[in-house]
Amino acid sequence: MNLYQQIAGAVESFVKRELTELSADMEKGDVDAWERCRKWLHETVLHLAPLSEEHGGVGLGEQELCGVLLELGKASASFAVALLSHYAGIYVLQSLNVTVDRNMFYASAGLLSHHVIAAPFIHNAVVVEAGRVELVTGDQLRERSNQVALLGLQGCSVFVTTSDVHAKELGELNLHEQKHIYARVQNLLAAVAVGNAMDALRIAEGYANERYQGGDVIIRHGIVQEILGRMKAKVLLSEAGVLKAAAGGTEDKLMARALAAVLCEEVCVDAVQLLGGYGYMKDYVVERKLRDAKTIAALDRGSTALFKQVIEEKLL
Amino acid sequence: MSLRDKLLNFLYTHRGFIKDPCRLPRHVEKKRQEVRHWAEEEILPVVEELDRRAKEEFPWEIVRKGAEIGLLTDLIPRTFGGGGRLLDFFRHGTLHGALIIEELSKVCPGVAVIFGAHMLGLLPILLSMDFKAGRRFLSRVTDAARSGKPELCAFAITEPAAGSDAEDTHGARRAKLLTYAKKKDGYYVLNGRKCFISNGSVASIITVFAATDKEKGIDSWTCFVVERGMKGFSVGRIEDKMGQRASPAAELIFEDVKVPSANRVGREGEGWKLNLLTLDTSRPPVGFIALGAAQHAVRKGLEYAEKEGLLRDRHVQHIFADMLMKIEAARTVVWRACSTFPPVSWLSATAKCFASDVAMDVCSRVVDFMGDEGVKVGNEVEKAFRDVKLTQIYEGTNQIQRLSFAEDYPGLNRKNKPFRVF
Ligand SMILES: Cc1cc2nc3c(=O)[nH]c(=O)nc-3n(C[C@H](O)[C@H](O)[C@H](O)COP(=O)(O)OP(=O)(O)OC[C@H]3O[C@@H](n4cnc5c(N)ncnc54)[C@H](O)[C@@H]3O)c2cc1C
Repeated sequence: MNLYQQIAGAVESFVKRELTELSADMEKGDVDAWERCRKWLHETVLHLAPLSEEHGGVGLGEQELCGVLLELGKASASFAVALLSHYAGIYVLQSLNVTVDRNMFYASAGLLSHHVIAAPFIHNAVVVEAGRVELVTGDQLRERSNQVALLGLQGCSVFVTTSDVHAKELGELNLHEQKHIYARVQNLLAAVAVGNAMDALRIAEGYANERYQGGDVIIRHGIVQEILGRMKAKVLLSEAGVLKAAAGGTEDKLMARALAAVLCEEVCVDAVQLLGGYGYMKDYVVERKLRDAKTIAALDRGSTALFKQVIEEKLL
Repeated sequence: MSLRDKLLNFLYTHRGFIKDPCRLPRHVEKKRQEVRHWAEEEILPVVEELDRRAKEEFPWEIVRKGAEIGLLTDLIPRTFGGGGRLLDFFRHGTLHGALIIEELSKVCPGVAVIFGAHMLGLLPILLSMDFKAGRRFLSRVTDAARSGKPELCAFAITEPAAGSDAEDTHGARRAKLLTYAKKKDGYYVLNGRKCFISNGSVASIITVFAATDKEKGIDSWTCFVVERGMKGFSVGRIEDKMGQRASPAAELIFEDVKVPSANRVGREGEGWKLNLLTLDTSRPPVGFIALGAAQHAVRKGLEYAEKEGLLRDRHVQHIFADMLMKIEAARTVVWRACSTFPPVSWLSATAKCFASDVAMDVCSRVVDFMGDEGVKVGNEVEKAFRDVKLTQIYEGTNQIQRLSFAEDYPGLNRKNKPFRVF
């Protein structure tokens, strides 16, 4: 078994054994549940996954990182996005040759979203704005920023930084580097969206196999089959796009992200629909999947703007 | 100026003037303005709190104010103390009430549904033309509204094992409908469960549909009024919903509830037809609930665009034009369906289904357009997105609307008349 297979196995078993169950508590901001995830990351060293081996990390490539985030996204998009925000911080620090503290949890702003989206146990936020990179400590964020809640990804701490936060200048990224990191982060975000949608699809399919209406299990109704078929195709397409883009260029990544976000949101809308009234209730996880999917789709400037941006930038 | 110049001048300058599909009577227009003002001044400031604390507290204050304006009684004929006339129904359908619901929905679809579900609960009594039931219950509603202690109604058909099956004849014939009313001397003994009932936990008068013969199923379906406080009737779980949180949806439990025969609405066995007539009448206003929320989302999106200096961007104009075109088109069909009485199934289904699909699309796109700001809780747009999803589900899912359309549209069903020619 190679390293990635080992990691994939560990992630899968954590998702099945613990994360799925923890996710509801994490959404409510339960500190213990988040703490359990933090410990698991330390145990598996996955918090250092994108850091190269020479810097003490795991050195996972982009496709592999997509796989990890996709798997985590199945159980908890909040956790996966918080981890991605940390990875984004690491990317920037690496790019600036700033040493990454192995015990610290980072978050970022300006790559994933303009807000700082973080795990509750965040230590530092790496803020990128027009190429300038600054570091803000978690304590300062907690004290001086406005904390807001989002439609989805609940349980994450979301800070809107205010001007009186004291930031430490770290350096500058050139436009090319910034774009490159931005695109990588966006593609990884798409992987979370795919994982989230895959799970919504799994739940909807399971429900359709059990729920009797119209004289039969609903999966036997043509329209339900069509909806499920479309959902599957959308998930398949999104996943393929994300994995291919992981090895591709900036443009591929942005397109994969925009498309996956749109398609995965549609999948989650349909999943709620297939569960009928039950799907709309908080006890059934799909409503959370829909809120998460919409939030992922709209983060930063939303998918519509991204589609446009890809072409617009080529013209410049 | 020559006549031609005058005419041209008129054509050039009056192009913004749009006539509504029918002119609204002055008193309806006045009430619409009144409700709009009330909603913006008094409901809007508490919307966020209603959304957050919905399960803990029911907004009776809003219901009381709504009752003062007549929102609980306008549908009820004057014979029973209400503000409406039976003739109005035949002339305008549910349009006037639905336009008021739209105003409320622009501010909070959850609040709109409190009043909407009340009207839905009243409809079987009204449509059954059961004078005795009307005198008993409609008068009670109007008296209560006048006294300042309003009573709400609810409508209960959905059961744990029969959601779509309670909305569609094909499914209902094969359904496991378990709520059952056994006839005794002078009363019925009601047993069973209904779920997801809007206003269920706060209503005093609930129109409940149950079979009186287990073998006959929906052919024996009958409508009863179950009153709050009846022995054996209790409220089960109150749902924690994704949206429309101001309006509670509850499970209702009936354990040997003794329902007097006088509480029967219409004849025994008439329930299924009454249910379908009720649904056909109540589905188009759901279109207005959906479009009210969508209009509000667009308004918020435009405010954002203006703040960000994006409104002159032609791509942004394109995005908004696309959304507004859809809203305009949907609103026309909803208007038409609401003003059609007796209701036409396929038209009602079209209105509900099309409008809710449009609204869902629009709200999703506004959130997307606003990006980080769109998903922030408290910005009203993310709430519109959550609220609107429900309009694709209740009163029959949009899949069931399509089946209902197919059953009824001329030429689509072999039993039907030839294909409709325009
Ligand atoms: C918040 C809320 C408020 C409500 N308020 C009320 C109320 O006041 N009174 C009341 O009586 N009910 C109420 N309902 C119930 C509502 O009308 C039902 O939820 C709705 O009819 C769907 O039924 P279901 O939830 O059981 O879904 P199901 O019927 O189980 O449907 C599941 C999925 O299968 C599909 N499906 C089902 N049958 C078929 C078929 N034959 N062919 C093709 N596809 C099919 C559906 O489209 C759906 O996608 C409310 C529901 C909610 C969520």
